[in-house]
Amino acid sequence: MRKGFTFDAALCVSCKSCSAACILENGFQPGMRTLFAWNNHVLPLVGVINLSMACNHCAEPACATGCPALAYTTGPDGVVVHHSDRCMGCGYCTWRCPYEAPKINPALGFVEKCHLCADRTIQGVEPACVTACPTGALKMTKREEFDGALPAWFPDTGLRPSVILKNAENFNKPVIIPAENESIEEDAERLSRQGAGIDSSGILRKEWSLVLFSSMVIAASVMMIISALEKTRTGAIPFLLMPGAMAVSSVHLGVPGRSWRSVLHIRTSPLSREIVMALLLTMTALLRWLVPGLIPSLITVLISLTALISVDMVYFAADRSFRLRLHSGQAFFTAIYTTSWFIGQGTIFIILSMLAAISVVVRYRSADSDSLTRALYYTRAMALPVVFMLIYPGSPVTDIAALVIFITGMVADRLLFYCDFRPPGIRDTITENFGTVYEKERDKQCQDAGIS
Amino acid sequence: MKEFITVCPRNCYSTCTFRVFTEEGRVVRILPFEGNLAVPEGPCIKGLSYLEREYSSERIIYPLRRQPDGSFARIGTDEALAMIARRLTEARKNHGPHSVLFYKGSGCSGLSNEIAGSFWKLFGGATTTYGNLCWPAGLEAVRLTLGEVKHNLPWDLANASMIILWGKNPAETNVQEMIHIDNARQNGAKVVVIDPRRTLTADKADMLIRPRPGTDAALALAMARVIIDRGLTDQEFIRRHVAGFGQFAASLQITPDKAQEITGIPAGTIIDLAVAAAGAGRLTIVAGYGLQRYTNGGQTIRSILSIPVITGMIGKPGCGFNFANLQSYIFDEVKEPLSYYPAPETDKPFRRSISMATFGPDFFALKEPAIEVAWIERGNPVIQLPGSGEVRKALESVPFKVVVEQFMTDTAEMADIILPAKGIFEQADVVGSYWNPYAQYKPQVTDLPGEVLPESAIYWRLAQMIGLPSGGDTGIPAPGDYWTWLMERISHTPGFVREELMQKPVIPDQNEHPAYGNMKFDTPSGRIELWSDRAVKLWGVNPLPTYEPLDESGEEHLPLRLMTPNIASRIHSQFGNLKVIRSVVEEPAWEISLADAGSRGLRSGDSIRVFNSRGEVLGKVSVTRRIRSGSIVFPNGIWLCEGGGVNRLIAPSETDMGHGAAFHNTRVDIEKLVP
Repeated sequence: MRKGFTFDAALCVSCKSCSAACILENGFQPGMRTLFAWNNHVLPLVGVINLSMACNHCAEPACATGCPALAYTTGPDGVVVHHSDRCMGCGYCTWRCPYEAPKINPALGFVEKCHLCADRTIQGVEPACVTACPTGALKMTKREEFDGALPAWFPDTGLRPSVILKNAENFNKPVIIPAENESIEEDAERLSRQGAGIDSSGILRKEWSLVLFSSMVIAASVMMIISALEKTRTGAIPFLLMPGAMAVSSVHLGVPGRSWRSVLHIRTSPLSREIVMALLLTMTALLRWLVPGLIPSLITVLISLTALISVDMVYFAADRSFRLRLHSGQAFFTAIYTTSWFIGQGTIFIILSMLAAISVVVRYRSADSDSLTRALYYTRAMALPVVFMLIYPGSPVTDIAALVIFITGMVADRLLFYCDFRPPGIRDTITENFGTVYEKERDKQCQDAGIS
Repeated sequence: MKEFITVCPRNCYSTCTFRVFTEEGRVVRILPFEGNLAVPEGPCIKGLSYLEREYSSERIIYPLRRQPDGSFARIGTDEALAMIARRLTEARKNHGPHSVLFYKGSGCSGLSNEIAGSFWKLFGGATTTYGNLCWPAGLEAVRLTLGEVKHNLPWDLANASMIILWGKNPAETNVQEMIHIDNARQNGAKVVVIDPRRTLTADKADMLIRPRPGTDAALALAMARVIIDRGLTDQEFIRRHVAGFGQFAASLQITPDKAQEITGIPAGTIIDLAVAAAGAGRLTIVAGYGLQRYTNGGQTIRSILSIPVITGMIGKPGCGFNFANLQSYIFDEVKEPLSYYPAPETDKPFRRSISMATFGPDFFALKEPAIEVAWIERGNPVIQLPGSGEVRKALESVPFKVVVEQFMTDTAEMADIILPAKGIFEQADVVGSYWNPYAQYKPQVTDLPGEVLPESAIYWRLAQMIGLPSGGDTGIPAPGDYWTWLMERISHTPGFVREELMQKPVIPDQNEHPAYGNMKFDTPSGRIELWSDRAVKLWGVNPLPTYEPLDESGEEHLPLRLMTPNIASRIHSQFGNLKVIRSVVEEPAWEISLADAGSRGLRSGDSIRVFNSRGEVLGKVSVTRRIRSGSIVFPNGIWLCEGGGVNRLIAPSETDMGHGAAFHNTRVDIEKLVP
């Protein structure tokens, strides 16, 4: 029998007892069990839904399959347990989980997650959040399978969460008298403000080490591919870049001393695969430097490309959006684009430039932009005309200028990749879905009122 | 782990029963007690937080003495009590016993509190307070009309076909009532909330009606008029059980159109609501306490109560008027609200008492003797009394102050001696409830930490030191005899088996359900009194329910009406200091409407100054649709260090009846603080 939660939104009054009980029982930081509300601003056209959520103990837990350090186990009752003594604090599980269940504890460095109050369940006592709920909105449920009973908006990307949500689809909307006199336009404005939560500089400050790591891997790969294709000596630089890259990447770990655990989960974790490929790339670079000719060109190219794909897969496996798949800042694309510039493959370069241009335009149209993102987009866009330099070759000076502009554009795009990388969270899901529901309701009201 | 069944003794509707588990003398787990049908699920966030509250590093567990520099230092219990005894003896000798002020709040209920009464009586009396901050206008209105203050079992709400939550916000203040409301909705009941605010409760309702604050009586009387005009009354019920219906019907001047002008609710809605209420079949009106904290509060409750009376919805399942249910107060000789009134001055040579609602001015009017010593327990008057600026000044003028407290509250900070107060788990007691029907035994679960003494022991030791009689039948038991005293105290009350009470909450035999089901009304006429001669005699109000516009003289120019409701994370000024509460609850902010924010250029998070003639409070603004324009809302009970102290803006004034405090009569203005 699997254990999970049943939550009845009709009974939840957002009292936060469940959140408090979780803190008191487990000593977790605030927010391990969180109350999400649809319609925070109580906009009058729709009602309110409260949602209390911690871990849904999925049958296919994305946190566990993604964890490179094998820090997760699943018990016979389906409870997904995180073992902090095995966690290196990479935070990859926090990207993978659409329910925002695992949370990094900044004070301790590692991740913590709901374990359904393991100490209590051993004693046959229900979890603290459940026994704390004063209205009975939150219950523990045992089922062979948790299937269905989830609202359409609920993010369930094949994870099979062990949760049943009742009354979480239909808003209870009281008739309000006298009616609100504030305008619908004002609400639309508030709503748009609610969605605009992107903070690019915050993201880049937080993820700088990953940006640098991946850029160094891209650079090393590009150099090795070029040397392989042009049958030249690889030299020391690619090899020297790689240990540096690995060192930089360990900076973002909460527990760097456990970074060796990152290769333990090649079977399913994209992150483990990335690290293994990076190690392989390092070995190849070393051998090509010390024993030129030992590693054949084809093998070198294949290893480099695989390493690049493994970098991209880390992100694609967390953010499955189309937007990211088509991103011209992804590692693989960036590398072959750069390679085509250096090896003077004009036709390929022009085609890739056009693809990059399309990607930039398409993404910009749908971007939540703050000033930094916009600046990056402009930088990226301004670097695109560099393609004409190929058609009209100039002097060495203009060639160098073109190279600088080109590289600047690539760096801007790589930074944009991180700004655009948005692993799904329940908060965003609710905000987006609420916007849709609200607009539908507004259109309906306008129609009823005869306004087109 | 050892398990106990206990009860939360705070001033709260729910009075939750819960199971606690101890390990090495410490409570480590709190679980629900399913046997209390009013609160079968978990306790609220405050109940859970006892796991922190009782063991908080900020809890005061040793006596503290104020130092010349204003800080506090630990002193021995003997030394502290000796000092207090000396000051009490001197005050009594030099100025008489009434130079001592005894102030008690509602912070911890239980029969043990009676020991304080015995002590001060033996002391020769003391200056005390009368009235109550919370609910007496409504209690008195119900008493005048129905004779007693009671209602059906809480879970009987599920039988209602229509529930009107009139000014009550159970989602925050009585959270388990939402279970019974949801059950009613599952059974097809319609739920209407009448409240100027869109509360968390309103989010769960079918309809929210938002009258202007203080105009509820006009709405109710217009509904009564519609019901009578359309012949929707229960004539048989009125003929047999109601006194004064004819005069009442003839007095109804407020038409729906007139009510629309007063309340802002469209006349059509008023008519529809009245017709729906009269035709509901099983109508329960659940009235809150906020709407009677006005100078017209008692008359407002009488007006609302007239609706179930004229439609015959009293004394039946699923019906009634739920204001308070004092049926579990079986041990009290004098029940609220009568216990709030100053005692008649005939039975004793001299008694002196001042009103809680007008504490400041009343205090400064005290002469011969002036107050030399103040004793404050179970309360935080510096924050909770209206006109708290004057209250502070009043207490500052007292030469020697003793405060019995668990935490360094704004009141405790003014003390000369702080005596540590017992926690919920540290003394056995018996507790009633004003909503659920159970009498409950609260066992001693853990030992007293540090040098904490329960009040009973404090009083016994002081009696020894001062030379007052104690022990025996004096009502001040020796610490070792406390248990015997408690058992003796409950032994003469019929209606329950003592052993059963020791085990779990009991509904006393005398509990009547449905309330008033035997159609006996303890009024002078023996009937439900719409016309009440007592209302005239006791309070000088109209004998009939009326709408009395609020007296706003001198404040008409202030644009915003201030409401200071209770919120889920606190019981008045308690619990808000705890880490766990602070970590999950947003910081309190001044809530205003979009319209009021727009016209002042305010956005959420802006700093504002809230002011009127009595003072000012600084804080942050939160712009929300939950508030109507013309109102501003800030919760009561926020400590000064948290940016609270909202009662500084509130005039010391009494409600029209019951000696309540008219908190919500206040108007204020705001201005944006330029950063």
